[in-house]
Amino acid sequence: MTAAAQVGIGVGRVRRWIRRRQRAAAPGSDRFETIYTLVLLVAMVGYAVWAQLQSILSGQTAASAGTREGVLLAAGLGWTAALLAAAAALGPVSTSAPALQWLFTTHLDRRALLAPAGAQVVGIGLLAGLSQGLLTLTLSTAGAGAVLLAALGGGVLSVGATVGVQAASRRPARVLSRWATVLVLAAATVAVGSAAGLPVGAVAYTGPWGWPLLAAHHTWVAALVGAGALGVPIFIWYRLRALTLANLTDAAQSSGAATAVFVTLDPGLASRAAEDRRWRGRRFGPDRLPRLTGRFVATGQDALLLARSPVRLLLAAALATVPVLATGLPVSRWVIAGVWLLSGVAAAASSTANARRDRDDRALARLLGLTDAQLFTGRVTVPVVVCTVWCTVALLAVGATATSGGLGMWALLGACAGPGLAAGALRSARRRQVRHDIAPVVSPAGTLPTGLFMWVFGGVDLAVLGLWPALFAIVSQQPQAALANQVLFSAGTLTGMIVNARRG
Amino acid sequence: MLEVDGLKVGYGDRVVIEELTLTVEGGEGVALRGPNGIGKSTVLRCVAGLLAPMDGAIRVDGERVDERSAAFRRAVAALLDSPAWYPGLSAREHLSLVRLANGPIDDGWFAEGELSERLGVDGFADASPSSLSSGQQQRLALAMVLDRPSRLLLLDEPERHLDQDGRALVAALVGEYLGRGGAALLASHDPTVTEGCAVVELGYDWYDETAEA
Repeated sequence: MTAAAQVGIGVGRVRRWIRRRQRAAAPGSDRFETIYTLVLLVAMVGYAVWAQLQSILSGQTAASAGTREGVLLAAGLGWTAALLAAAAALGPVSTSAPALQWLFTTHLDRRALLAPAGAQVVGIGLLAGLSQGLLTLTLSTAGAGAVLLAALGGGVLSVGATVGVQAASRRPARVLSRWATVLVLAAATVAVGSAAGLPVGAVAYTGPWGWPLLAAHHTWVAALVGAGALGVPIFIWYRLRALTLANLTDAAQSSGAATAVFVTLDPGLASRAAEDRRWRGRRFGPDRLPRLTGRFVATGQDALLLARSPVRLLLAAALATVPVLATGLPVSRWVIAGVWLLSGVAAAASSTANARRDRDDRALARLLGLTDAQLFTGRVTVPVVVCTVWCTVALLAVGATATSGGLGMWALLGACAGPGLAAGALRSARRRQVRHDIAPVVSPAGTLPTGLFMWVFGGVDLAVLGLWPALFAIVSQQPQAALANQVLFSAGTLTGMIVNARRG
Repeated sequence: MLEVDGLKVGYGDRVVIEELTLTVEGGEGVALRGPNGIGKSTVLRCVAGLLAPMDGAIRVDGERVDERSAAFRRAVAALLDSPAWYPGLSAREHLSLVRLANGPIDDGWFAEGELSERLGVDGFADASPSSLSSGQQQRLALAMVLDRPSRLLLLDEPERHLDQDGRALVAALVGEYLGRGGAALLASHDPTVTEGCAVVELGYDWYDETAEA
């Protein structure tokens, strides 16, 4: 039977057959568009990388500000966490759903079928490493060659490890997500420790997040990491055969959702798919829904969801350290204020999943016998509480690095800013799908999809308005002067959201 | 051909099937029946190697299930979930792809074009599968799964989206498959489709206990 299985046609012939027919079916303009897009992409990305390298190597960057070890380590940890999270969402080795259903179930050599996907993973590792290397060089140009080699090698070794997890684990997405969470928390710890003046340099020895930093002073690290990375393609090739169809199917489902995001230019699809994926297969214990009535049913539901999302709460807490991290960078106070705002909007998303679902599907409101406005009013409480706590903690941390304003004032300002942030987060959650019917903006770089930009800034716009006094206080470092205005702005934006919801 | 011995399977800590034992020989069809959520599809996923059992063993041709083995994939054909389609390929080309990838195909198997004609795929052969109705897609998927040579056929509710004629045709095709010496394991509620198959009712007793636990 094994010998019989070897008889048959090669994977290459099947691939060529599919490509030939797909090309024949596609109009010529499609091919032109693909080539044009690829050339433009390569030219733009290539130029950006080249310009950055030139700038770094000529010493015209922020390198003069000196090496900021804690910032680089925290950023490296965060970047590695993002790589693991992406690997969890995409596979990392992945292929299309039809290929899985109709090719991977045949006797064709599975390793040969997966080889292109394996090569893509190595390529992603190189790109991730390059990004980390460039970031390291932005803050410290010492040993540029060794830094880049260690970063590239670290990126490749990282993706190699993710493939190892995918091949060895039944639930690779869960394992990789957990590691990503651990690294985010480690990044937050390093950021806080570094801001508090604690020595964090030893963390550089613990993984790829610190290797570029080490390589700046120890070239043997670069040599070692580079040599290790050379073995990764062989390792991946060896492990491709161990990947199960179950793992690949999971990966195809999530990467299919990610592809849909690019095809439809609708990032909201990703968050909906991630939410569905998150709860799939979870089993809940006894009924813990708080016994509230009327619109407060929604409040109780939000509170229960939050209680069942401890990891999201931890990540929201970790995000409170990001603005502190920014204070260690040689950037303007406006950038720090912007980082605080965006971190807040991201953290607040931990409490608005139900509001998003209400907007997507109005059946729940009908089932509960509530109007949309009543349901929304019930949805406000939990985000306001979460945002108030988050703003208080994050502004306390920022205030600790400020040159003026007592910590009590910063905390009070944070408490006043919470409802303003909640208003922005709720608007962000209630965005509809991206509107493609709005006329695009024509620019020399091509047409820009207006609907996508409106979608991206929906929510952030209201958060900017609602948090304006606090943002200004971060820049001016005068929290007490912003208190009264912040109360008014928070109350105004939140009331506006509720009134707007009543109008539908 | 297929031996399931003391199968225990579930998702996470939830046990769906406990102590299932059955044997399907060549030329024999077995239909799993039972209420929604009892675990019919889960059993099929286990036999297809998409889900690892918590306990027990599943053997195909005496070998433990391992869908990473080319020999296993050569032997087993399955239609379990909603079918997925390649962009830029017509319905006819999907059928050709399956025959190409599973070649060489013995002369004794369904002739090229036979299933397409009998399942009515010829009527929409030039269309993109994604533009077809649910019933047409199911007919195409059935043609594809039967067009590839195999010795164990796994079908999860093959009657879905099909009209009465389509269901009768599925029963006839499964009968022909068994006539060629193949074994079939189906999950189905439709008596027309399961005609000619031995029926295994998945029990209620342990299901109720699990649900209460």
